Amino acid sequence: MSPDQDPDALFAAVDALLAQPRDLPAPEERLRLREAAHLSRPELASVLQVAPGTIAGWETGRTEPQGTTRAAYARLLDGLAARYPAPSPGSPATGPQTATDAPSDTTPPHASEPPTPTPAPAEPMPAPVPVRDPDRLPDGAVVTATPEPCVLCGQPTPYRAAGRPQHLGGFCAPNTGGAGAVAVGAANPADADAPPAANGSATVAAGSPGAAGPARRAGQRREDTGGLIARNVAAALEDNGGDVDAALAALIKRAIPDGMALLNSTRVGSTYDFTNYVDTDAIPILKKPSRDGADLIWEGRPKWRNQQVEAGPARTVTALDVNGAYLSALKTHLPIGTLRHNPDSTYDRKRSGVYLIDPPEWAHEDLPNPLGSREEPGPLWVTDPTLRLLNRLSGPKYRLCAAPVIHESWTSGSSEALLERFRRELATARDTALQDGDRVTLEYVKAMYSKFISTIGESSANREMRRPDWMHIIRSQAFTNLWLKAWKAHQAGLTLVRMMGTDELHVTGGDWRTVFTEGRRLTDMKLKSEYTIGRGGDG
Amino acid sequence: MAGRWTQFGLYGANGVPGWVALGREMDRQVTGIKSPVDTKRGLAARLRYLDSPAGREAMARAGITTRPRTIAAWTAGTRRPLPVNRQRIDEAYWDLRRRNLAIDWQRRLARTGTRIEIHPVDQRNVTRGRARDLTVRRVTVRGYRIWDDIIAAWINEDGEMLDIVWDEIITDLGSDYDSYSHVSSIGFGI
Repeated sequence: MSPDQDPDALFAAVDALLAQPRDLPAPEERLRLREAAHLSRPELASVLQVAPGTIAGWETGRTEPQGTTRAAYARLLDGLAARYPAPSPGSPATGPQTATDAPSDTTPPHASEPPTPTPAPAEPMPAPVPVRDPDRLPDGAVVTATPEPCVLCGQPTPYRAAGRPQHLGGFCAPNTGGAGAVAVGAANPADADAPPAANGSATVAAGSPGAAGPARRAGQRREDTGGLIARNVAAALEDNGGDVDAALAALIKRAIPDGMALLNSTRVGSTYDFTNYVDTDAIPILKKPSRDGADLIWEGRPKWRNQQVEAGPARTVTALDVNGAYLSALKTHLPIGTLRHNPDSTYDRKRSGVYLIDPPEWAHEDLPNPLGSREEPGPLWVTDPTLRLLNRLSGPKYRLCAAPVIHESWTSGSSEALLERFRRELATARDTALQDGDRVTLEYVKAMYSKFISTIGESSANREMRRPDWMHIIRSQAFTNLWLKAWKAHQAGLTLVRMMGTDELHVTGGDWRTVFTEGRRLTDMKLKSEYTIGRGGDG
Repeated sequence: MAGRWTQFGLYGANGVPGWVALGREMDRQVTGIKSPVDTKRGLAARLRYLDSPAGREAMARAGITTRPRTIAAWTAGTRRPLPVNRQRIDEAYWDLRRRNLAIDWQRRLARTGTRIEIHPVDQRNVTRGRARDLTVRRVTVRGYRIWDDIIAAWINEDGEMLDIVWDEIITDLGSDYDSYSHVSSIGFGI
């Protein structure tokens, strides 16, 4: 592999592909148009029959619509563009308002090279003037045809106005000046050669995309992907003059407020409005006994060793790490409002919170106890993910233990989607950073989610939120996820040796790569180390 | 106190006056020395914090009437205060700590404001048909005038003043503001 050559060629190929259907405005413009029309993402998504997240992808430039959806989206955007022209005075969008009197006093912005004082249209080729109303079929539908360069901006458009290709309402996406200038030059062939000085710059501008264009555009595209995250990273790099370490230190310092800002931005338009604060004084089990004491919740942190393997013959053990365990754990059933006490043993799977349970007996020496290494006997307070796991393991599919007995609980109505958009934003930024080898974004994202989880309890480092219940639940979810990974390995015939911390799983007795994919993505497992365990040389 | 909720709790609603919740929320955010005053470390840290004119004033307010030489000996660690004085030192420490924090909070809160999350009264035990339709409300409180009053009232433990300020805050909630004269709790970041 020659990493210098291939990406360029790839980007060039991708850019060539992207260049073909140029009927969509830039991502920022898409967002502006939707907001101008007071359409929410879910509304638009239901119209176009896609997920709201997909719309978000299009509006950040992370993804591009395809096929018929693209055509429908393009048509919608053109319609909106006609109704809500861009406000900037220099852009062609100022045309539509003055469409009727345009021939007399406004020259089209792009045709400004040689001032054309003669308003009279030049024979077959009238000066391109924005026409407000597109051509329509008898039934009112807008006429569409093979995309041809718009007379105003040169970008291909399927729409026609007064018989000539033109973006709807005369609105053209604000695009690179180069392309526009060239197109106008093409539309007025008489002018193309006449003023070489004026056209010189345009030619340079138009020529550049071929050479430096792909790299620059690829960079821009990537900058758009993470939205807030990418903007923060770019700003930090700029502030520190490109010093990666200094920028990273600055970013990590502000990871907590940035994380909260990201969370708040993902709350806009969400279905459930969770509360940021719980009154810990009213919930005795969440109340800390002293200023730095621990509350009563048992998170089930794993700390397990397989005694049989350690006592057995020497074998090579592989230590595996879950990637971004806490990031994945943000997807969990979280209580929406204040926890309410329920003094009886009922369990409602639509609620989440903490439960006082009798731990069921665990009789499997080769499998870690999902409750972790609890040494105290008797009832304990566990969170919703742990209880769900225990309930599952007691079910007909697993039959590994008895069902836990609930004594009392503190719960609230729950949703699994509360942090889902937040998680997705972070996960996308993480994936992109991994692909690009972008260490700054990677570390920044990691600091954001890990600090978010560790400070949403009662921390003076994060006053914007006080949900110790969430903190416990998210951590338990991470441990639960790890247990399920261990179970997967166990089912595939591997021997579990250790399960510890938040994300460590040690296995032996087979090829772990047949069970997990090796890599750094969230669904992959990372190889940490290999070591030998057991009493060696017993033959 | 605002509102028509003249006999609060008559039908089983459970909550506290809003100004009480406001004071509690601010109390909750006071941070400081974690070691108890009875430990050597905790005592030394408190005395060091109080080793200033403001600190000596705070000790006087807390009722420590010993001579300055004795206090200097405590600070130097050559003598150990009696349990009753250790208690007063603790009080003086938290008093001064709150005042010092308040100066910073006042500036920050007035300038940037903060969003107060108001949790309505607990109506689970309210007689059927008597419950109100109450949701969690959020209101941004900003400006020197109001925060000066809140902080001053909190420092001086002036309940009446806090009550007046709370009424002012909930007025911004709209027509059902008087449903929030009593709340179950409030939360905000400083």
